[in-house]
Amino acid sequence: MENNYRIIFRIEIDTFFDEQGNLSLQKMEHLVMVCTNMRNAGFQVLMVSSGAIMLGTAKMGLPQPPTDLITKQAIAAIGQTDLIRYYQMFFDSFDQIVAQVLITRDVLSIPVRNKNARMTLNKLLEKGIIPIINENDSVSTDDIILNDNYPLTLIVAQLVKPHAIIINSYKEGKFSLIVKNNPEIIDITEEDLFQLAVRIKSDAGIATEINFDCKTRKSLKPTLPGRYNSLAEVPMISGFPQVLTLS
Amino acid sequence: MLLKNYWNKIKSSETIVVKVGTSTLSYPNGKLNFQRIDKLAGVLAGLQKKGKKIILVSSGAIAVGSGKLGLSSKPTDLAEKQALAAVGQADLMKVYQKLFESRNQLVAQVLLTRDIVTVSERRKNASNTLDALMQMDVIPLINENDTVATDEIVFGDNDTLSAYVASLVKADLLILMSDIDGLYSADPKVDPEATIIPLITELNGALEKTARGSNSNFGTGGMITKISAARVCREAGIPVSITNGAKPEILNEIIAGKPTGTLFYWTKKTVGTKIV
Repeated sequence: MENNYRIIFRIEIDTFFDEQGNLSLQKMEHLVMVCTNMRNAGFQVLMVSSGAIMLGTAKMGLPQPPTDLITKQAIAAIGQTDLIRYYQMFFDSFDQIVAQVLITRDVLSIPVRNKNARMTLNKLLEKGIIPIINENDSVSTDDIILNDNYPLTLIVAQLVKPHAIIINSYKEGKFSLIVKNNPEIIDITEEDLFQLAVRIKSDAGIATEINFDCKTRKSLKPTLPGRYNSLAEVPMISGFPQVLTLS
Repeated sequence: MLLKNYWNKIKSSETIVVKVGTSTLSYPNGKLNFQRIDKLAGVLAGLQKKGKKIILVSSGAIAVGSGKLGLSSKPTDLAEKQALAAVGQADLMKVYQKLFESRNQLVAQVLLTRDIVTVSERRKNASNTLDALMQMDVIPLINENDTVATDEIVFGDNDTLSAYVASLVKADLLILMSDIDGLYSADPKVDPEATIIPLITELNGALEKTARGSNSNFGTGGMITKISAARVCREAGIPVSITNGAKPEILNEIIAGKPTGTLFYWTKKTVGTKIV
């Protein structure tokens, strides 16, 4: 069943917190189950997950995330250990091995970094391990400043060339799917995802299959900067739109 | 000056970088030595409570990763080692976090690469993060970021990285713990006359020749990397202690100024180029 189709799950951890600021372990566990299930169906799965600052804030008992950059970096270093521990705990319970990978943007510009990062990720995927990726906030501040990990997701996409990116949006209980070379963001349910996973049995192009399968689905409208009228005009990086903010 | 007088000066050390090698943290079969890690966490948390500012540089990720995946032999291929490090680092942090938090001591993970020396932006960020963590009374747990860098994997066991970290945070002392008692006058496995050199006040060619002539298995990191670490600290004027990590309690004795293993104490004013 191994088909080497790669999927990146981009996780925004805020969707796991309730209004009182408590982390819902149940939601997190559920997401972990979905990811493991995709893996069990034969996909190679990567996770790009934020959450270090929110968990660090909770750990230090702060009423809200710090605003100054240096404290944020320190809080991220504290929270990252909790983040990976939670993921590991849940993945362990589904017998899925995970690995922590912290990267900085220079993986694209420095050849030796690029080679090392690609080698590590490919080796992990080859072994059936799910890499959990975040920005290395201790030495880099790009994501902290942006407060968005979609750019990091695109960096990972350039390294591992996935076939699709899945974005969780648990507030609505839905996932959004972006298929490579398709300027559309498709709103799918978890059930669709499972159906899709079950049906992928051969090397037949998954991208086509997903496109076909989702033709009838609702296409989401992302918020675009003023200079673009539609997602089709947005520059693509490794087959995925460069900017993305779901409305 | 007598040996104990040099050690007396160590007592006032406040910011202390401790580096532990894989050989200290694991059994020869690669499995973790939980009892020892537990003791290490206890000693370090105790020192922090006494007002010291501790930074721990820890190897061991690859050994933990191999154990987790049930590999019987050590991996040799670089990509394999990097993958195991990514798996093992997560587990290693979990173990540290558990053992430190049971003593009400918070820890944070900081993964660094050597460019904290050469790239000013990286240096500034790393230094800011470490300073902020120390101010919050959190112990930073540092390792090399093996995913994007392979210096540790290729060159040996974090000795040099720990010296860069010591310079970065302007530490008062760097303690290198491994599976040997100190720096020997010759390779003790070959020469039965070999003795520990208790004090070194200046680096010279003869010393490097002794280290270079030593067997590569002469301590996991090897003596060469310890001399390199000492050279980095020489530039920053930071004393370096080399000791055996088998009994983590030895850290209390070192910080109490009891002569142990090998001490590098720089008597001449630092004149070299600034490294960090």
